[in-house]
Amino acid sequence: MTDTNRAPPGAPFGARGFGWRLQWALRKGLLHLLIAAVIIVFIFPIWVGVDTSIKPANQLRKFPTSILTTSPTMEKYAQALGPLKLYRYMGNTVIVAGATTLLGLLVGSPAAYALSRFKFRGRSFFARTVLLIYMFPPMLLIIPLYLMMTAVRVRDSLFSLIVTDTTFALPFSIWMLKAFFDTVARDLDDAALIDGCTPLSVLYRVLLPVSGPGVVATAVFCFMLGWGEYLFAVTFITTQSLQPITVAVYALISPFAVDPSLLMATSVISAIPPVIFFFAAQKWIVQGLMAGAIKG
Amino acid sequence: MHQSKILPYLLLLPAAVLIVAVVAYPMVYGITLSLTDRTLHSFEADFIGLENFRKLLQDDRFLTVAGNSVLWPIYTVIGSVLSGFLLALILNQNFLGRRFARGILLVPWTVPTVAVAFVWVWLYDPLVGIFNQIVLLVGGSRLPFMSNVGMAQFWMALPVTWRFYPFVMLMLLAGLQAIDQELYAAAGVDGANMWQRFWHITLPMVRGILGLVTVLEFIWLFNHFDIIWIMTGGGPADATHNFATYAYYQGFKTFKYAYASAIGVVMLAILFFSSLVYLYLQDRMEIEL
Repeated sequence: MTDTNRAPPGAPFGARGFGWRLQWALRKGLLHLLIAAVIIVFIFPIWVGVDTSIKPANQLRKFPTSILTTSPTMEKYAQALGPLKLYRYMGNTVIVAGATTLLGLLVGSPAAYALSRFKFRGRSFFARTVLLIYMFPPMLLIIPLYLMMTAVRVRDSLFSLIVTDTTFALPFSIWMLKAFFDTVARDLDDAALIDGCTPLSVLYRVLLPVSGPGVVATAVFCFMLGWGEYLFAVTFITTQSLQPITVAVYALISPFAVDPSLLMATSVISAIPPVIFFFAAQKWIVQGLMAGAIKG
Repeated sequence: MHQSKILPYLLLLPAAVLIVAVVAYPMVYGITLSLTDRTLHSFEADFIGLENFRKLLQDDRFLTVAGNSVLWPIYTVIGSVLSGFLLALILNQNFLGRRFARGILLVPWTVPTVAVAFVWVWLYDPLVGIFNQIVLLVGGSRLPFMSNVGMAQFWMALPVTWRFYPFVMLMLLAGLQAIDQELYAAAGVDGANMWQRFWHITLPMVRGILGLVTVLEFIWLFNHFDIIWIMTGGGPADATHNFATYAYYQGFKTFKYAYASAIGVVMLAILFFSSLVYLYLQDRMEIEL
């Protein structure tokens, strides 16, 4: 699989016979075709989803259908944002995802600082426990959480989602931030301490500012988690006006109902913010994930 | 390392409070609940010991679900790990538009699960869905997809696999890029062919990451709820239920809180062992690094 495009050892490329060069070009061409085919297969669902969302109704149920509409229309997007008032539910999602991001950093960064810079009893126990959260079956927690939240009367609120989403974002936020803090030279801490910083202010005067990319990556990760969360949202929220977009879309238009274009348009709308944020921070997220999930 | 006795604990306090309130305490509560006969309608629950677990073993529906839960990880974990690995190998080649390809292949992972489920409901539409259109165009006869009890779980595995392969791809790609190119050059001098280079260099070098992502994918897919619940709700005839959706069904559709918690405890037991495997692999990784 690896580097078919590298010339074998021996004579330089130009000195080789025509036959060899032809074979090389063919192989390379074939490889590119294979790559293109595989990629098309994997992105096909996205393509169809976007295409369906801009297809006029009269083209939708034709056989054979087209997979590239000739007369795109934004009508369904207008309908989703206009009469269906999707932006209201998007507002709920923005609050949940935004607060999850903020809390994820606020709670995660001191913990990451402790794990990265301090020696103390129980350090590795805590580190392991945090990691195990993302292996935990949420199904065991959801009934107790439902009963607890109902008992203290916070269940049907955005607060209930923010608290749970923040907790489930903790493993990633702590491990990613720790990984980025670990790369900062200790000399910086020491210099700051000598200059009169308290150990606590080293965190926000030195570590957070220097690990900008790590903070961004962590923020994006928390945001995506809060944005797409479905299980807790569909369980805890019973008041319709408090539903985040993931739940509202399902309630507004059942997927089995009549209007696939509208369904695809709302899906695209709900996917745009996380997709954009992810790509803005892609490089750092990969770094952070590698550090957290693989190296431990 | 800073020397301070109390500060690290203070720094961990907010996170610890959240973990205790949202994970640890509810976990204990859930386990206790599984030993009672609590439902939505019972204000006072009685302790009934392991009765719920005995009932589980006699529940034909649960046994069907348990059977599904064996097949489910086989389909989805193998599917996502194999496709993720294949795509990582492809993306590790030099070709025009590689960065673009990498970007677009990551999109499924960033799309909310709800949107993934909706798109696939439409792709699978028995009448006008694109998959059946393709089947008809190449001369086949319409596939029933989710309405066929025997095959429903297989078709359910596709969208879920599609949502989860990018993580594998991303991790393995990072692993592949860390392999020293000198190794391949040396193998080339020794006359190793493509297959030999893959088998003797590539595979051993990413073995550690491969093991870890496989366990992680197992854990996530075993727990997976969203896409199944939205697409079929576990049907037809329980064919697409896994432990997660069945526990949810028992808890929030029939409101048997205690019974649902018992299923949660079964899940916890299974995941506990997988977590141990994960931690073991991670330790070994640390030694290798």
